[in-house]
Amino acid sequence: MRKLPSRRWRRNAIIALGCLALTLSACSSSSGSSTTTSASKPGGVSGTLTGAMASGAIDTLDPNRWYFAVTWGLANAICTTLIRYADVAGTAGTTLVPGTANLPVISKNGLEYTYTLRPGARFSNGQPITPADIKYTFMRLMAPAIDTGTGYYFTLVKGAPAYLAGTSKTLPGITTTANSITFHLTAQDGAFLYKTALPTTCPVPVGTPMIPENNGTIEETYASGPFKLQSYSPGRQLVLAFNTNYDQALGVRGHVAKIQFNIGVLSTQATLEIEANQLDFNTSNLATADILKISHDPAYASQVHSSERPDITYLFLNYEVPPLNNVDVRKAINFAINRTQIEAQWGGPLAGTPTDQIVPPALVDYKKYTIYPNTPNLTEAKKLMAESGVKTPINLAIRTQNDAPGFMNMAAVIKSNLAAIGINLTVEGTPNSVNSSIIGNPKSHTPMGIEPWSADFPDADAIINTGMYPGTPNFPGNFSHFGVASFVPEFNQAAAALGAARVADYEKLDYNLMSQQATYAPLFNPIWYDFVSSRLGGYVYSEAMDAINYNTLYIKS
Amino acid sequence: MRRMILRRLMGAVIQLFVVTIAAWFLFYVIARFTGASPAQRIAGKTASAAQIALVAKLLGLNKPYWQQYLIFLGHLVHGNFGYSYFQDRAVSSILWPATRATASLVLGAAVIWLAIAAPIGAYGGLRPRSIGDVVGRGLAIFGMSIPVFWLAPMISYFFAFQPTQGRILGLPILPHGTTLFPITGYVDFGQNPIEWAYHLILPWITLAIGFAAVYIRYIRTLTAEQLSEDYTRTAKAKGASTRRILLHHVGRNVAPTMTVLLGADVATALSGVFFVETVFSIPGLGWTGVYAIENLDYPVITGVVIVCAIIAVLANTIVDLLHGVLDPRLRRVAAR
Repeated sequence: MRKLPSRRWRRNAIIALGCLALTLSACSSSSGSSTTTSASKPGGVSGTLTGAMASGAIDTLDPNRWYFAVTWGLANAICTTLIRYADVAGTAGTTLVPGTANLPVISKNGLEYTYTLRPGARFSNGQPITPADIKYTFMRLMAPAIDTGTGYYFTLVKGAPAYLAGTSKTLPGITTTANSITFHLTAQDGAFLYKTALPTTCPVPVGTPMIPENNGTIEETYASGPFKLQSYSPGRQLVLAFNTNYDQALGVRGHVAKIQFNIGVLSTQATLEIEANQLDFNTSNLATADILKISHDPAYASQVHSSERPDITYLFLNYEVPPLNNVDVRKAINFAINRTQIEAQWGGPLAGTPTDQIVPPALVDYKKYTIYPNTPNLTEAKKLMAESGVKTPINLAIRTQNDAPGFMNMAAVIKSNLAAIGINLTVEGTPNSVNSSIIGNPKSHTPMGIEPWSADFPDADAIINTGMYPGTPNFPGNFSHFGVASFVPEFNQAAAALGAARVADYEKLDYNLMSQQATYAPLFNPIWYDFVSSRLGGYVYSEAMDAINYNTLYIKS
Repeated sequence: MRRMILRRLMGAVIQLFVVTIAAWFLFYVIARFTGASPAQRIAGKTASAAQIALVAKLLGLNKPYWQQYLIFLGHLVHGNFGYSYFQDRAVSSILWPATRATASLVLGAAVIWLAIAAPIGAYGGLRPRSIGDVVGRGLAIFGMSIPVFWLAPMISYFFAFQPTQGRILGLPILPHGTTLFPITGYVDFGQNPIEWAYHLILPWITLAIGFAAVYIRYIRTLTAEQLSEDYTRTAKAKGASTRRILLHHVGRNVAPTMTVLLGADVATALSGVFFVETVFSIPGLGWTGVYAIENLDYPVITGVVIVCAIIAVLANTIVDLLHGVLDPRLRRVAAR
């Protein structure tokens, strides 16, 4: 009982503290975190923008390892790759323009790509970027201890297979001169230009440790884009600051002094903060409910932006699990599912578009065709099941992630759809982190699953070749384990083709895969929504990075 | 008393040891059978089997289970929770700020829920079926019925967002652009105590409402029970004031029970405030645990589980000891 006065004092002190804070805050009307008074215009650099980021949006800040969409968005601000994407909206934003180097000179046989470095290319500490740094960058990103999967894209560089496997320490397929770097390929690669613009090719200086550095210390000193990393507190906050050593002759980019990201903000809360002018943008897609609310509000017409994404959500069908090895069964599934109803679980017409093809409309190789309907054609589906000779009922499992909205409901719709053709599904849901490691493991023999896929670069190669190359049916990204050998030449031809021939080859391959094989059951192409503050100008969604382009943003005066 | 303290502390150590084994077994052994692979998660979606094996080797996940456990335990004994797979830093450097944030939230909320519940509950016990008691019980039922995952966004919406639009509880009575409370965010106490309290007011209230409701009912029942005892009638007959009866007689008898409840509830709240932390973006233990689960960051997940267990065991140990201090009968039982 002697301690009562002290308890009372503490309680009173806390209440008083709370009241004081309340009074102070109530007096400070309109003191949001992002309400910086200074304004900037393109050409000037001032002010601070504040963005929100979901927890887990950053996989790593190692410039040769990052892979998530949010970190690629950051990479676009922090790095200038050999060549890069134009800072404009829409499909025009997938055009490649000079970066630290000019657009390359390609040899007549298409096997040598020579990039000449541009004057002014330097790191944020003022150190010039040399061809040796670029070669080292490629060696680092392909090193087994660093590579998160994009090293695979450079398999056609001479000596790369042995280097990627860790059996060789040298990479003879990349040579340098005083101001240029040449890639020597063993076969033509029509997507090679895109591959040299991947965010994992972000330059690092020679000598950067060949071990992962996930917390951004490299970008604090060796940024090469209009911004550098000022600070990073994992799970709390990340701040980009304008890179004063970035040579604007490489491209006029970066119009704000700072961009601050608050990490761990729920998408719905971020929307409220943007409405309240306490936040400028959110790196997550708008929640479905907010899309419906915000996109119909005329007051926000100029603040809501929707964009096509280079993404597809699809149902993979594992060729190694009977009866999915039967083409008629796979086709029957494609006829039986209700794509419109499945997409409705994602958010309806505003949030996505049902599709029956593999290549998304945001990619250059897209050509519209229709083989399978958006709503079920049960007559055709049942006919195909009968022709397949497979006895029904069939019991299979469908696997998907249970920690993202919509996926379990989509699985429930598919379960209901396929029951009509005698396929009984058991829905197995696990968090995405667990789910991806299960379906990526060939030994799991997962019959089918709903997966989203985002193209690493704006070319069909990044979806078709990466996700279903028949020469490597057990490649981790080939969830269908598609391995029909007769398709290999068609894949190789499309991958090597250039220009118009490439577009035509991929359009044909996309059609053939779906009409002859029904490799997947494509479901829908999601649409990206951004809601930004009224003071934010220069909004551009980068289709290539699947993220906001921070280099064009400015604060309206 | 000394024997009781020793026995309780020994019990706490054994409980913690069992928790470390269970946590390690759950995340490093059982999780593997579900197909979850941190090495694959880190190596990337398109990584080859060789790359995944290399990452597993770097993480030490290729060693036999018993070796992994001994390494883990050896580190733990020295206060080392291991190294985060994803954040590339010591787990303790992640857990310490998270524990501070959660403790700030829960302890502040506990002060509020006791401050609300004690007078309302005591009044209800003192004047049962009065208007004040009926209102208090109504509030308690209302508070208990509201799930925190709904309450948190509602409080944030009505008291943080709406004022910026010139409204509060839907009424247009504020100037447009008024900021009463931040919608999200957290400031560490060491950085700025005023901002710390300012950012925590709404989360405190959110968390306190449900617990206050429960405590109103507990305190009311206990008070009413004690007031019907002979000793209170005697005190009243001897002319003691209501205030004196409540504070010096009823209070002393209610306190041991309330202490037990408070200890258990604070421990529960410390490890279960995920919704409040998520809505208000407070980087506490629940939030850190979920972020780690998303990335299969086993050392952090295990660390969170162990810290929560330590908190629960410590809270219960302190409560047991305090109970002994407050209730002499327990000291006598322990002495036997």
